[in-house]
Amino acid sequence: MGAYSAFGLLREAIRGPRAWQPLWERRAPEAAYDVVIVGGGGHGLATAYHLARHFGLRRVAVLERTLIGYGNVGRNTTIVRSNYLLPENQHFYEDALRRWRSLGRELNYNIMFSPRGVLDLATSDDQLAACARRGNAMRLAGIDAELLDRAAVGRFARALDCGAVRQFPIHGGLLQRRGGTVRHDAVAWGYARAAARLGVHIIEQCEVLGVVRVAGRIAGVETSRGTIAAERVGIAVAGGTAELARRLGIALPLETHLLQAGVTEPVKPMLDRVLIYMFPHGGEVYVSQSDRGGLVFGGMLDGYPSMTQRGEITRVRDVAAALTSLLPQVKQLRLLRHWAGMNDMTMDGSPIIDRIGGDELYLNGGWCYGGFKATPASGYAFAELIARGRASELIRAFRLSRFASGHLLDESGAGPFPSRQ
Amino acid sequence: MLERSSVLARVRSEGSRDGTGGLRRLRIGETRDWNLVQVAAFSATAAELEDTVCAALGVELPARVGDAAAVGTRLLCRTGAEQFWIFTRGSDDIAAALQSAVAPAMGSVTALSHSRTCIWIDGAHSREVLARGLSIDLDSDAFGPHSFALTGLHHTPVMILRSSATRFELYVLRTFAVWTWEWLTDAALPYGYELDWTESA
Amino acid sequence: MLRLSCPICGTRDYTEFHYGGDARKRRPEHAAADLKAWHDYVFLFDNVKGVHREFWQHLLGCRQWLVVERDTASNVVVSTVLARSAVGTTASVSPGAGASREGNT
Repeated sequence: MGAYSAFGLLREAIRGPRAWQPLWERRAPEAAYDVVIVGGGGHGLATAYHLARHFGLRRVAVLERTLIGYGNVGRNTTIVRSNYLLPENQHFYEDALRRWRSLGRELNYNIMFSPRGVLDLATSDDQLAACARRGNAMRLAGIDAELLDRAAVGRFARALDCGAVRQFPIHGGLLQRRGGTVRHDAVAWGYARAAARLGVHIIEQCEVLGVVRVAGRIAGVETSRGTIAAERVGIAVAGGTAELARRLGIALPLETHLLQAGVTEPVKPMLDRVLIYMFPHGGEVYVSQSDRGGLVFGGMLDGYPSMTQRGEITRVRDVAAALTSLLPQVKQLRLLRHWAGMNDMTMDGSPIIDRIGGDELYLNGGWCYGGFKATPASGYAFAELIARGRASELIRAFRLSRFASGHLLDESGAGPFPSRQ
Repeated sequence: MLERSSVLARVRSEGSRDGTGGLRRLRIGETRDWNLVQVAAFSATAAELEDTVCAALGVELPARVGDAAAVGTRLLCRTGAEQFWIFTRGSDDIAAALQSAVAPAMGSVTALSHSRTCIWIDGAHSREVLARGLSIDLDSDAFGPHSFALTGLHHTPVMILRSSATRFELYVLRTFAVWTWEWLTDAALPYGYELDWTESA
Repeated sequence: MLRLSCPICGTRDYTEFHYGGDARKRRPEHAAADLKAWHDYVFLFDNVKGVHREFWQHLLGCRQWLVVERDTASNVVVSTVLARSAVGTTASVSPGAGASREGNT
């Protein structure tokens, strides 16, 4: 498994498609590892990659219950941004955004990073004032932000008719030019390949059922493919966090909700920006056009806890209605697919990255519906936490004890109600 | 007395529309000459309130939630466990009489006429049009004349009342009336409709 | 689609209802000084994969609060009763999240 290059591409083109090798080796688990990462999503794979690449841990295994790319890493709407209000979130997501820029080169894999600009649209003067406040906070933190009036929104997003009659008219917006999209599948494949090249074992269809403790200390994991010894165990299972935590006897401030996304049939390029359109009482749509031409869009949670991984059609209709209000020209497009992802919603809308109970057990979860854009920062910080046993400054605010100590990170000021985050 | 204005005044200039085959199979309009009073009790005072309302109006109240009883031009609907909606016509405004009969400790009497707009649709295809947005069974066996339901139309609250075999009335919040009107006329387009403002004087 | 059977109005789409939180939790007394009890009440959730006992309000219908037992893995509803008639049979009847939304009355 060599590095990709222009010359290699030419050579394989001549030799034919069968010359391409699998990106990572399918293998059975070994008896023991230094570190076992539970969950082969974006965060788990990135963590394993950084453990091997930057922290000198080579006996690392990633255990995936289903297949690489099957979970939320392949179910999100691919948007990356760092336009947050609270300093702790700003620094963390900005770290992620900087890593996205160079990730393709670092992994030797084209992740199709496209900094096409993320535009939050304001539908009232109040919301525009809130945009100004958030933009100012971002600029104070050294992050780019521009407040646009309605005319400037029209110039930036040509697909958008700002003067159109809408129930929630466009008053302006907050633009982060460096935000954009990343091809989500490529992130999973790129991290998996890069980790495997460093000797990480990627083991699919291996469900973790519990942890093994010897004399009260973590000694490994029980899996559907037998017991695997490990000195340290890191959990990064997104929507499966609550279920796994219960098996481990850990109480978490989480509730699992469904979030749906959809994609239209492909059309010629018509939307070259990421648009986020929020209106009162929680209505929302965010949309971008993929390289294949489909409009990829998502909205709000289904509204009640669910682990069905199957969303309500009425919510798809609501979000599609918001989309066609924003971009009436897409009304005639057919919906190609829609799907749901399970979101581990925390009670303040911010994630949890922490060591649990002073043991060699580490948790990375509670990403609500913002996990994808955090992937590279989360992977590095989680690897550092596992390798060193303590959290870096960047993720200290994401500790689990913040709920007991009152240091909540409630970005939207919604209170402990997951369906409002 | 102040006159209530119609929030649908601004859509009155819209014309009727032909459906498939150039036909206009439905009639749609607004009804205005009505009053609505909500009477509600606490669970402990429900029986007392019902006796009081019966005595004040000289009628029997419907027994089960979902039942409606027509008495003259009045329509009494049991909308909840201890809650009634009473519709009257024209100058027959019973809010003041009920307010003096029902003590605050017994329950509440709330005039709701100003807060609702009534849009009606009439024709053999009314049910098919409404079924595009309402998810309750409108079959005449399950939902015959004088049946009503408090339900939702695309997240907005609505009371639907069947006033005859072919005619339904939608009582919607005044602020959602124009939106509901747009939805209903849009849903009725395939069938064609004649606008009728005769009840909206 | 998830459908709930309101004991008053009959079976309706879930869109007429508003989810109101875990119905098994017991809120500490207002004067309780035990911060851990408050922390557990406000923040910790069993988040059951299986039958979950929860509050719903029939917001667009009769506006009654209900206690529903629903399997979160399949959305099969096991039972639905009025919250008021569940008093004494459940740990607590104190609907939490989002009790103030515009409804039919």
